[in-house]
Amino acid sequence: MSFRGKQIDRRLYEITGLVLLFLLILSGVAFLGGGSRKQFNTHRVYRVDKPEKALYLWRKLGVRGRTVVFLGQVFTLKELSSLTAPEKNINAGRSFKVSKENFLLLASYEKIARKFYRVVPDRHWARVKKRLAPLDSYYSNGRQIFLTHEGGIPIIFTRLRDIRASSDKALIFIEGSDIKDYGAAGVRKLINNRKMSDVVILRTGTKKRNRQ
Amino acid sequence: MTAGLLKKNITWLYVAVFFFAFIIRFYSLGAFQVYSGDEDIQIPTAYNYTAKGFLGPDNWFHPPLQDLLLYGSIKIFGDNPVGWRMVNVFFGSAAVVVLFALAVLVFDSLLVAVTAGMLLLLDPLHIFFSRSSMQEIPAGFFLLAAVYCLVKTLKTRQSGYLFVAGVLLGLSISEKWYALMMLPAALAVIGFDFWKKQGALGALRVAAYLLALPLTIYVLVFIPWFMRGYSLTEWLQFEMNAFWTANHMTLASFANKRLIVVGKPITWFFKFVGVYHRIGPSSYMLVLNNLPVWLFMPSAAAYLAYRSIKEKKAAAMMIGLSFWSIYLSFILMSRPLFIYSSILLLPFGFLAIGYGAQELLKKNAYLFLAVLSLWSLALYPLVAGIGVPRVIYAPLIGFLENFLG
Repeated sequence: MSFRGKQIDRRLYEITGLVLLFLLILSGVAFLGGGSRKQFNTHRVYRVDKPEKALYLWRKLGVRGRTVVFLGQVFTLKELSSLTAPEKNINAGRSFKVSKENFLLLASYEKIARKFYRVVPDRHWARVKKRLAPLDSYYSNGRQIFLTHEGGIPIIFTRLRDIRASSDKALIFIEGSDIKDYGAAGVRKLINNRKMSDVVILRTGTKKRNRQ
Repeated sequence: MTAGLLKKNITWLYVAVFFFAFIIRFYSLGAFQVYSGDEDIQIPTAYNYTAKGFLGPDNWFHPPLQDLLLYGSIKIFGDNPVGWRMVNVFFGSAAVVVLFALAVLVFDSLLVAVTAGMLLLLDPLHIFFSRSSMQEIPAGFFLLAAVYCLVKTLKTRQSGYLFVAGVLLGLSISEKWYALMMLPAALAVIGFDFWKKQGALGALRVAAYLLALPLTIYVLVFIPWFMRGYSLTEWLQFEMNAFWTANHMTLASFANKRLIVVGKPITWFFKFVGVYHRIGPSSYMLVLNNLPVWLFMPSAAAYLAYRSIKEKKAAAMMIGLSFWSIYLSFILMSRPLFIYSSILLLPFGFLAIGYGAQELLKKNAYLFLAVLSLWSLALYPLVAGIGVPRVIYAPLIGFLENFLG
C-alpha cells in the first residue's frame, strides 16, 4: 500500500473512532439511565391517610427513577427559590420534616421520582392552560403541557384520557377526595391497569388494609 | 521585538503572568464572608447536582459543568468563600496566560502579547467575576484555550491539538452554550484550510473533531442527571426545553436581581454599563465595563478581520471571526443579556486592540498601553472591595455616580 494510501486510512480511522466514541458514550448513558430505575412486575394498591405517607411507602419499597402520575387538586412541587439559603442545599445534612407540601419535592430529590404527570380534570383544562401559559418553560403540543420545575424536573400536565401505558411503569398517586373530578369510572380503570403501574397509592383519609 | 527573542524565556514569563493575575484575583477574596451574587443558588446546586443530579436551585437550563467544578473546589478548599470562588480565580488567571501565549502564536509580537495580556490582567469586569462563581469565566477560559489549540492545529497539522481543541470546546459548551456561536467560524476556517491541503477527508476529519468530541464531553457532564433514571429521549426533550426556556426569558424571570447589570450588547462598547455599591466606609463593589478601553474594541476587531481576510492569514482570521461571531449572536438575541456575558469577547477584543496598536500607533503603542493600564489599575480597589482614600478617589467616584446612577 502506498504512503498516500496509509494517510487516507489514518484519517478514516480517526473519523470512525470519534464517531464510535460518541455512540459508545450515548449507549453508556442510556444504559446508565435505564439501570437507575427500579420497578416491579407486580401490581399493588396501597391506602394512606396522609399524602406524605406516600413518600415513606416509596422509600420502603425502594423504587427509583420513576414517573409519578398525580391525580388531585393540590399538586405541590415546592419551588426551591422559596426556601431559605440553608434549606436550598438539601444535601448539607439538614433533614426536612416531611409534609404534604414537600413530599413530592423530596421524592424528586431522593431520585424516587424523575418526572411528574399532573392529571388535570377535563373541566379545568382550559383554565390550567391559561394559568400556565406565561411561564418561561411552557410548551404545549395541544394535548399536553410541558413545564420544567426549577430543579430540572419535567412536569407534564395532561388529561386522564391522554395517559398511555408503557414499559416504563408509573407510580400513581390519587387524592381520594378528588376522584369525582376525574370521573370514578376513569379512575377505577387507571387503578386496575396493571400495564400502567406497579404501585398505586390512594389517599383515603382513613387507614385501611392494603390490597394487591 | 519578535517572539524569537521571547521563546528563550517563555516559561518563566508565563509563570510570572499567572502569578500576577492570580494575586490580583485572589487578594482579599475572603472579604465577603457571605454568599454574594448568585452564590446562594450556585453553591447549593453544586452539592445537589453532584450528589443527586438535581439541577436546582440555580437555573436548571444552565449546563452543569460549573456545578461539578464548584463541588470539587469546595471539597479541596472548604465550604467557604475561597472554596466558592477558587474555580474562577484559577481559570481567570489562566486565561491571561493563554491569551498571552495566543498573541505570541498568532502575531509573533511581544507588543501585541503584552498589550492583550495587560488589558485582560487588569480588566475590572474580568477581575470582578474572576472573584465570583459565575460560569462565564471558566467558559471563557476553555473557549480561549480551544482557539489556541485550533491555531496550533493550523500551524502544525497535528491531530493532538485538534483533539484537545474539541475537548476544550466541549468543556466551554458544558459551562455556557456561547461557544456554539463561534463553532461555525472555527469549522469554516480550519475546515477550509484542511480541505485545501488534504481534500474532503481532511475537512471531514476537522468536522469530526469539532462536532463529535464537544458533544461527547457535553453528554458526559450529564451523567449525574442520567443516574436519576432518565433516558436519551428524555435528555433530548430536556435540552430542547432548556433551549426554549433560555430564549424566552424576560427580565422578570430572574429571581436574583441584586447584581443584575443589564445593557443591550450593542451598547457594551459605547456607554458605561454597570452598578456599584458602597460596602464599607471607604470601600466599594464595582461591576463595570471598562469603557475607555472597550471603546477601541469593535473598530480594532473590524480592522483585524479586514486585514486577516485581505492577507489570507487564517490564524488571525480565527481571532476576528471568534469575536464577531459571538458578538453578532449576542446582538441578535431577543432575551436579556447581562454585561458579564461580554467576558467571552474580551480576550479576542484585547488581541485586536493589541494588533491595532502595533500596526497603527507603532512606537506610541506602549504609551497607549500605559495610559489604559493606569486607568484600569485605578479601578482595581473599587472592584476588589479594598478601602480607598476618599480624598484621592472622590473625583472618580463622582464620575461613576454620574454615569451609573
